[in-house]
Amino acid sequence: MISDDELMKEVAGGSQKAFAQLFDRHSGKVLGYAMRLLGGDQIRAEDISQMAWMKVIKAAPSYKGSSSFVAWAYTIVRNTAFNELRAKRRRQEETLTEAVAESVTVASIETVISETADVSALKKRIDELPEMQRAVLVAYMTEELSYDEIASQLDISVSSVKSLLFRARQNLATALKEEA
Amino acid sequence: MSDWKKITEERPSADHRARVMMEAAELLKQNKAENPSRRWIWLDLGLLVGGFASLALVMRVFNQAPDEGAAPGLADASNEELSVALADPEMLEDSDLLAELDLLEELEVLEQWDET
Repeated sequence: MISDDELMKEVAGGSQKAFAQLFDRHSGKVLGYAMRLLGGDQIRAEDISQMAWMKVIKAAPSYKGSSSFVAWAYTIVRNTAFNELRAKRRRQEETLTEAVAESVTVASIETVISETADVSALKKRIDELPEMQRAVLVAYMTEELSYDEIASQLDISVSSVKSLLFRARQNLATALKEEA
Repeated sequence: MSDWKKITEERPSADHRARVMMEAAELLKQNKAENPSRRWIWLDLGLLVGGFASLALVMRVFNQAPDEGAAPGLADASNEELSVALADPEMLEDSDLLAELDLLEELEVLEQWDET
């Protein structure tokens, strides 16, 4: 099977066939990531996904292939989605509680998830989280970004990131317990 | 992370695919114009080199063809013509002709040596 990096080289040269192959291989992950970041809003997620794929084509000539294609594509999706969220947040002037939540760890969230067999129920619960909580949680879990990275990309403080993660975990755990 | 992989995966609709492909076509055309693939570069280079080689071959063939009025090659000449040519000092000055005569003499010597 031809590798993602080889397909990207062909996309850089303008191959439609290679792009179609790359899209069919990863569009599910790209769209799914956009949907989780945007709370299951399929129309917005498809728009973000489409914008991300166009950025992939434009960036193909300079693509180095140093990381995996999916990780690179996730970064593009996240940046595009975060730009949307930032713009929306500025419009709404959303206020965040600066509660520091040092207890938030990947393991604690992974435990909650591993105890939940129903993936679709989990997706639904994540999509129901408040916008900023969901964006921080999904970026943190899927790409393992640091607090600093998420803070700078969403234009919020590190303590806000910790607080949002803490509340996201708490809300998710509560919702899943209620369901059980 | 494996659970998150399942969570962050959705099946894209046919409409979404069609819209992406339609918009992609324009950008891919731009990529093709700005970044031709190496395969095409090599093909173009190959055609260029092949063209030059063919041109050089044609030029060589034309240069080798005898001009009208020029002395005919010795290979096609009869014995009489050869003796006329040998008696003609102008023809003897022709270095190609002399080289061919030398070759013929060498061949005759070799043939005689074979017979003995």
